[in-house]
Amino acid sequence: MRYRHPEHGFAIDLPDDFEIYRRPPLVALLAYAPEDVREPFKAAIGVGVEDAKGADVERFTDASLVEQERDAGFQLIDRVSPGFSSGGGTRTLGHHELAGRAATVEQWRLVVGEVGYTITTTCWTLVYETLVHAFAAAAETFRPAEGPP
Amino acid sequence: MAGELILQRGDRFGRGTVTGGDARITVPRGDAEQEIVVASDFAPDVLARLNDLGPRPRPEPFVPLQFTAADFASVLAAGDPAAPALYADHEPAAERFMAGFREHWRVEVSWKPDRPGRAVEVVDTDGGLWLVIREGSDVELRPTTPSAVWRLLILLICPDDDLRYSAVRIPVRG
Repeated sequence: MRYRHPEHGFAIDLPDDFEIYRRPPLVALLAYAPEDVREPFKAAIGVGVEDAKGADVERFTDASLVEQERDAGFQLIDRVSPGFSSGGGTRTLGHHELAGRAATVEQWRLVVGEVGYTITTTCWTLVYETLVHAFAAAAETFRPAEGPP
Repeated sequence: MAGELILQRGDRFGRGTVTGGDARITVPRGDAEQEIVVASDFAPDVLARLNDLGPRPRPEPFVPLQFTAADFASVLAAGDPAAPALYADHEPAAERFMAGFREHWRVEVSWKPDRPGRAVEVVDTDGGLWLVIREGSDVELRPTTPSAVWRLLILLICPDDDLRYSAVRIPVRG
Protein backbone atom coordinates (compact mmCIF):
# COMPACT_ATOMS: atom_id res chain seq x y z
CA MET A 1 0.00 0.00 0.00
CA ARG A 2 1.68 3.15 -1.26
CA TYR A 3 1.13 6.10 1.03
CA ARG A 4 2.02 9.70 0.23
CA HIS A 5 1.67 12.29 2.94
CA PRO A 6 -0.58 15.15 1.79
CA GLU A 7 1.42 17.90 3.49
CA HIS A 8 4.97 16.65 3.91
CA GLY A 9 5.12 14.97 0.55
CA PHE A 10 7.08 11.87 1.59
CA ALA A 11 6.01 8.45 0.38
CA ILE A 12 6.34 4.96 1.80
CA ASP A 13 5.00 1.49 1.00
CA LEU A 14 3.25 0.05 4.04
CA PRO A 15 2.30 -3.62 4.48
CA ASP A 16 -1.16 -4.11 2.98
CA ASP A 17 -2.78 -5.17 6.24
CA PHE A 18 -1.53 -2.19 8.25
CA GLU A 19 -4.11 0.39 9.28
CA ILE A 20 -3.28 4.09 9.12
CA TYR A 21 -4.10 6.06 12.25
CA ARG A 22 -5.86 9.19 11.02
CA ARG A 23 -4.72 11.74 13.56
CA PRO A 24 -1.38 10.59 14.93
CA PRO A 25 0.04 12.61 17.80
CA LEU A 26 3.58 13.98 17.42
CA VAL A 27 4.38 12.16 14.17
CA ALA A 28 3.37 12.66 10.56
CA LEU A 29 2.32 9.06 9.95
CA LEU A 30 1.41 6.16 12.20
CA ALA A 31 0.22 2.79 10.94
CA TYR A 32 -0.66 -0.24 13.04
CA ALA A 33 -0.38 -3.93 12.33
CA PRO A 34 -3.60 -5.95 12.52
CA GLU A 35 -4.71 -7.29 15.87
CA ASP A 36 -2.86 -10.36 17.14
CA VAL A 37 -4.19 -11.85 20.34
CA ARG A 38 -0.70 -13.04 21.28
CA GLU A 39 0.72 -9.57 21.29
CA PRO A 40 0.31 -7.19 24.22
CA PHE A 41 0.39 -4.18 21.90
CA LYS A 42 0.15 -3.60 18.18
CA ALA A 43 3.24 -3.36 16.06
CA ALA A 44 3.53 -0.02 14.31
CA ILE A 45 5.34 1.90 11.63
CA GLY A 46 5.65 5.66 12.05
CA VAL A 47 7.29 8.52 10.22
CA GLY A 48 8.44 11.67 11.95
CA VAL A 49 9.33 14.87 10.13
CA GLU A 50 11.26 17.64 11.87
CA ASP A 51 13.69 20.47 11.40
CA ALA A 52 17.16 18.93 11.34
CA LYS A 53 18.58 22.29 12.50
CA GLY A 54 21.48 22.11 10.12
CA ALA A 55 22.66 18.73 11.33
CA ASP A 56 23.86 16.02 9.00
CA VAL A 57 22.29 12.60 9.42
CA GLU A 58 24.91 11.40 11.93
CA ARG A 59 24.40 14.40 14.20
CA PHE A 60 20.65 14.19 13.69
CA THR A 61 20.85 10.54 14.81
CA ASP A 62 23.08 11.44 17.77
CA ALA A 63 20.55 14.01 18.98
CA SER A 64 17.67 11.59 18.60
CA LEU A 65 19.47 8.87 20.54
CA VAL A 66 20.27 11.31 23.36
CA GLU A 67 16.53 11.86 23.72
CA GLN A 68 15.81 8.13 23.68
CA GLU A 69 18.52 7.34 26.21
CA ARG A 70 16.82 9.61 28.72
CA ASP A 71 14.42 6.69 29.03
CA ALA A 72 16.32 4.64 31.62
CA GLY A 73 15.07 1.40 30.11
CA PHE A 74 16.33 2.14 26.61
CA GLN A 75 19.23 0.08 25.38
CA LEU A 76 20.91 0.74 22.04
CA ILE A 77 21.70 -2.57 20.34
CA ASP A 78 23.04 -1.49 16.98
CA ARG A 79 23.79 1.52 14.82
CA VAL A 80 24.91 1.35 11.24
CA SER A 81 25.63 3.73 8.38
CA PRO A 82 24.52 3.67 5.67
CA GLY A 83 21.14 2.65 6.99
CA PHE A 84 19.54 2.12 3.60
CA SER A 85 20.69 -0.49 1.10
CA SER A 86 20.82 2.22 -1.54
CA GLY A 87 23.30 4.15 0.61
CA GLY A 88 22.88 7.07 2.95
CA GLY A 89 20.95 7.50 6.17
CA THR A 90 21.38 5.57 9.40
CA ARG A 91 19.71 2.57 11.00
CA THR A 92 19.49 1.98 14.74
CA LEU A 93 18.08 -0.91 16.73
CA GLY A 94 17.12 -0.61 20.36
CA HIS A 95 15.10 -2.08 23.13
CA HIS A 96 12.86 -0.46 25.71
CA GLU A 97 9.79 -0.93 27.85
CA LEU A 98 6.41 -0.07 26.38
CA ALA A 99 3.28 -0.42 28.48
CA GLY A 100 5.17 -2.70 30.81
CA ARG A 101 6.24 -5.09 28.06
CA ALA A 102 9.43 -5.60 26.11
CA ALA A 103 9.56 -3.60 22.89
CA THR A 104 12.08 -3.62 20.06
CA VAL A 105 12.39 -0.37 18.13
CA GLU A 106 14.19 -0.14 14.79
CA GLN A 107 14.64 3.23 13.14
CA TRP A 108 15.92 4.62 9.87
CA ARG A 109 16.91 8.28 9.65
CA LEU A 110 17.52 10.53 6.71
CA VAL A 111 18.28 14.24 6.37
CA VAL A 112 17.34 16.01 3.15
CA GLY A 113 18.13 19.69 3.10
CA GLU A 114 16.85 21.06 6.38
CA VAL A 115 14.38 18.24 6.97
CA GLY A 116 15.07 15.24 9.19
CA TYR A 117 12.99 12.11 8.64
CA THR A 118 12.71 9.25 11.12
CA ILE A 119 11.01 5.99 10.20
CA THR A 120 10.24 4.16 13.43
CA THR A 121 9.10 0.55 13.68
CA THR A 122 8.05 -0.89 17.01
CA CYS A 123 6.80 -4.27 18.12
CA TRP A 124 6.70 -6.67 21.04
CA THR A 125 10.18 -8.12 21.22
CA LEU A 126 9.01 -11.73 20.99
CA VAL A 127 7.44 -11.14 17.57
CA TYR A 128 10.23 -9.01 16.13
CA GLU A 129 11.53 -11.95 14.12
CA THR A 130 8.21 -12.26 12.29
CA LEU A 131 8.17 -8.57 11.37
CA VAL A 132 11.80 -7.69 10.81
CA HIS A 133 11.72 -8.17 7.05
CA ALA A 134 8.41 -6.33 6.60
CA PHE A 135 9.76 -3.42 8.63
CA ALA A 136 12.94 -3.22 6.58
CA ALA A 137 11.04 -3.58 3.31
CA ALA A 138 8.79 -0.67 4.23
CA ALA A 139 11.71 1.51 5.29
CA GLU A 140 13.55 0.80 2.07
CA THR A 141 10.63 2.20 0.05
CA PHE A 142 10.68 5.53 1.86
CA ARG A 143 11.08 8.53 -0.40
CA PRO A 144 11.35 12.06 1.00
CA ALA A 145 9.47 14.99 -0.43
CA GLU A 146 10.81 15.92 -3.85
CA GLY A 147 10.53 19.64 -3.33
CA PRO A 148 9.23 22.26 -0.92
CA PRO A 149 5.72 21.42 0.35
CA MET B 1 7.41 -25.63 30.33
CA ALA B 2 10.67 -24.20 31.60
CA GLY B 3 13.90 -23.67 29.75
CA GLU B 4 17.19 -24.14 31.56
CA LEU B 5 19.70 -21.40 30.89
CA ILE B 6 23.46 -21.70 31.04
CA LEU B 7 25.50 -18.54 30.64
CA GLN B 8 29.23 -18.26 30.10
CA ARG B 9 31.18 -15.05 29.86
CA GLY B 10 34.91 -15.59 29.81
CA ASP B 11 35.60 -17.88 32.76
CA ARG B 12 32.46 -16.88 34.65
CA PHE B 13 29.27 -18.90 34.59
CA GLY B 14 25.64 -18.12 35.32
CA ARG B 15 22.44 -20.10 35.20
CA GLY B 16 18.73 -19.58 35.13
CA THR B 17 15.29 -20.63 34.01
CA VAL B 18 12.82 -19.11 31.61
CA THR B 19 9.09 -19.90 31.51
CA GLY B 20 6.09 -18.36 29.82
CA GLY B 21 5.85 -16.05 32.81
CA ASP B 22 9.25 -15.01 33.97
CA ALA B 23 12.98 -15.46 33.64
CA ARG B 24 15.28 -15.97 36.63
CA ILE B 25 18.95 -15.53 35.94
CA THR B 26 21.71 -15.90 38.50
CA VAL B 27 25.13 -14.47 37.70
CA PRO B 28 28.31 -13.99 39.71
CA ARG B 29 28.77 -10.54 41.20
CA GLY B 30 32.03 -10.11 43.03
CA ASP B 31 32.29 -12.95 45.52
CA ALA B 32 28.52 -13.40 45.64
CA GLU B 33 25.71 -14.05 43.22
CA GLN B 34 22.98 -11.81 41.88
CA GLU B 35 19.57 -13.10 40.87
CA ILE B 36 17.77 -11.14 38.17
CA VAL B 37 14.03 -11.75 37.84
CA VAL B 38 12.12 -10.26 34.92
CA ALA B 39 9.06 -11.02 32.82
CA SER B 40 10.18 -13.55 30.24
CA ASP B 41 9.82 -11.16 27.31
CA PHE B 42 12.62 -9.09 28.87
CA ALA B 43 15.00 -12.08 28.92
CA PRO B 44 16.69 -11.09 25.62
CA ASP B 45 17.23 -7.62 27.07
CA VAL B 46 18.85 -9.03 30.21
CA LEU B 47 21.07 -11.37 28.17
CA ALA B 48 22.07 -8.47 25.91
CA ARG B 49 22.95 -6.24 28.86
CA LEU B 50 24.88 -8.96 30.66
CA ASN B 51 26.94 -9.48 27.53
CA ASP B 52 27.38 -5.81 26.64
CA LEU B 53 25.62 -6.21 23.29
CA GLY B 54 25.80 -2.84 21.58
CA PRO B 55 26.91 -1.10 18.40
CA ARG B 56 30.07 -2.51 16.83
CA PRO B 57 31.75 -2.05 13.48
CA ARG B 58 31.29 -4.78 10.89
CA PRO B 59 34.29 -7.12 10.73
CA GLU B 60 36.22 -6.53 7.53
CA PRO B 61 36.75 -8.48 5.44
CA PHE B 62 33.31 -9.94 6.14
CA VAL B 63 34.45 -13.53 5.64
CA PRO B 64 34.35 -16.53 8.00
CA LEU B 65 37.41 -17.96 9.74
CA GLN B 66 37.98 -21.69 10.20
CA PHE B 67 39.66 -23.21 13.24
CA THR B 68 39.97 -26.57 14.83
CA ALA B 69 38.28 -26.61 18.21
CA ALA B 70 41.67 -27.07 19.84
CA ASP B 71 43.20 -24.08 18.03
CA PHE B 72 40.20 -21.95 18.85
CA ALA B 73 40.46 -22.86 22.52
CA SER B 74 44.15 -21.96 22.42
CA VAL B 75 43.46 -18.62 20.79
CA LEU B 76 40.87 -17.80 23.44
CA ALA B 77 43.17 -18.94 26.20
CA ALA B 78 45.95 -16.74 24.82
CA GLY B 79 43.55 -13.82 25.04
CA ASP B 80 45.84 -11.38 23.27
CA PRO B 81 47.27 -10.78 19.83
CA ALA B 82 50.70 -11.99 20.89
CA ALA B 83 50.08 -15.51 19.70
CA PRO B 84 49.90 -15.06 15.93
CA ALA B 85 51.44 -18.47 15.34
CA LEU B 86 48.18 -19.98 16.53
CA TYR B 87 46.35 -18.53 13.60
CA ALA B 88 49.07 -17.99 11.07
CA ASP B 89 46.98 -19.80 8.49
CA HIS B 90 44.12 -17.37 8.93
CA GLU B 91 45.75 -14.05 8.25
CA PRO B 92 44.89 -11.29 7.85
CA ALA B 93 41.41 -11.44 9.33
CA ALA B 94 42.41 -13.55 12.30
CA GLU B 95 45.03 -11.08 13.44
CA ARG B 96 42.46 -8.33 13.47
CA PHE B 97 40.05 -10.66 15.24
CA MET B 98 42.33 -11.10 18.21
CA ALA B 99 43.85 -7.63 18.19
CA GLY B 100 40.68 -6.10 19.58
CA PHE B 101 39.47 -9.03 21.65
CA ARG B 102 36.88 -8.00 24.25
CA GLU B 103 35.11 -11.12 25.44
CA HIS B 104 33.92 -14.56 24.53
CA TRP B 105 30.40 -15.36 25.68
CA ARG B 106 27.79 -18.04 25.26
CA VAL B 107 24.15 -18.53 26.22
CA GLU B 108 22.49 -21.93 25.99
CA VAL B 109 18.85 -22.80 26.58
CA SER B 110 17.55 -26.36 26.93
CA TRP B 111 13.81 -26.78 26.80
CA LYS B 112 13.75 -30.56 27.10
CA PRO B 113 16.18 -32.62 29.20
CA ASP B 114 16.53 -35.29 26.54
CA ARG B 115 17.28 -32.91 23.70
CA PRO B 116 20.30 -30.72 23.06
CA GLY B 117 19.84 -27.08 23.79
CA ARG B 118 20.19 -24.15 21.43
CA ALA B 119 23.07 -21.80 21.94
CA VAL B 120 24.30 -18.41 20.86
CA GLU B 121 28.07 -18.14 21.14
CA VAL B 122 29.86 -14.92 20.29
CA VAL B 123 33.37 -13.51 20.22
CA ASP B 124 33.16 -9.78 20.87
CA THR B 125 36.00 -7.66 19.50
CA ASP B 126 36.67 -3.99 18.86
CA GLY B 127 36.46 -4.83 15.17
CA GLY B 128 33.04 -6.42 15.44
CA LEU B 129 31.13 -9.53 16.51
CA TRP B 130 31.81 -13.11 15.43
CA LEU B 131 29.30 -15.91 15.74
CA VAL B 132 30.87 -19.19 16.85
CA ILE B 133 29.52 -22.16 14.89
CA ARG B 134 30.71 -25.53 16.21
CA GLU B 135 30.51 -28.65 14.07
CA GLY B 136 32.30 -31.65 15.47
CA SER B 137 35.93 -30.77 15.97
CA ASP B 138 35.68 -27.71 13.70
CA VAL B 139 34.86 -24.16 14.67
CA GLU B 140 33.77 -21.51 12.21
CA LEU B 141 33.85 -17.88 13.24
CA ARG B 142 31.22 -16.16 11.17
CA PRO B 143 31.21 -12.35 11.05
CA THR B 144 27.95 -11.04 12.39
CA THR B 145 26.23 -7.91 13.64
CA PRO B 146 24.61 -6.80 16.89
CA SER B 147 21.24 -6.81 15.09
CA ALA B 148 21.68 -10.43 14.08
CA VAL B 149 22.75 -11.45 17.59
CA TRP B 150 19.72 -9.66 19.03
CA ARG B 151 17.47 -11.75 16.77
CA LEU B 152 19.23 -14.94 17.84
CA LEU B 153 18.77 -14.08 21.53
CA ILE B 154 15.05 -13.60 20.93
CA LEU B 155 14.80 -16.95 19.14
CA LEU B 156 16.76 -18.59 21.93
CA ILE B 157 14.15 -17.96 24.56
CA CYS B 158 11.21 -19.19 22.48
CA PRO B 159 10.30 -22.78 23.43
CA ASP B 160 10.60 -25.37 20.66
CA ASP B 161 6.86 -25.96 20.66
CA ASP B 162 6.23 -22.27 20.21
CA LEU B 163 8.90 -21.71 17.64
CA ARG B 164 7.15 -20.10 14.73
CA TYR B 165 10.49 -19.23 13.29
CA SER B 166 12.00 -22.64 12.64
CA ALA B 167 12.49 -21.88 8.96
CA VAL B 168 14.41 -18.72 9.71
CA ARG B 169 17.93 -18.80 8.39
CA ILE B 170 20.58 -17.68 10.86
CA PRO B 171 21.09 -14.03 9.99
CA VAL B 172 24.63 -13.01 9.25
CA ARG B 173 24.39 -9.47 8.05
CA GLY B 174 21.61 -7.32 9.40
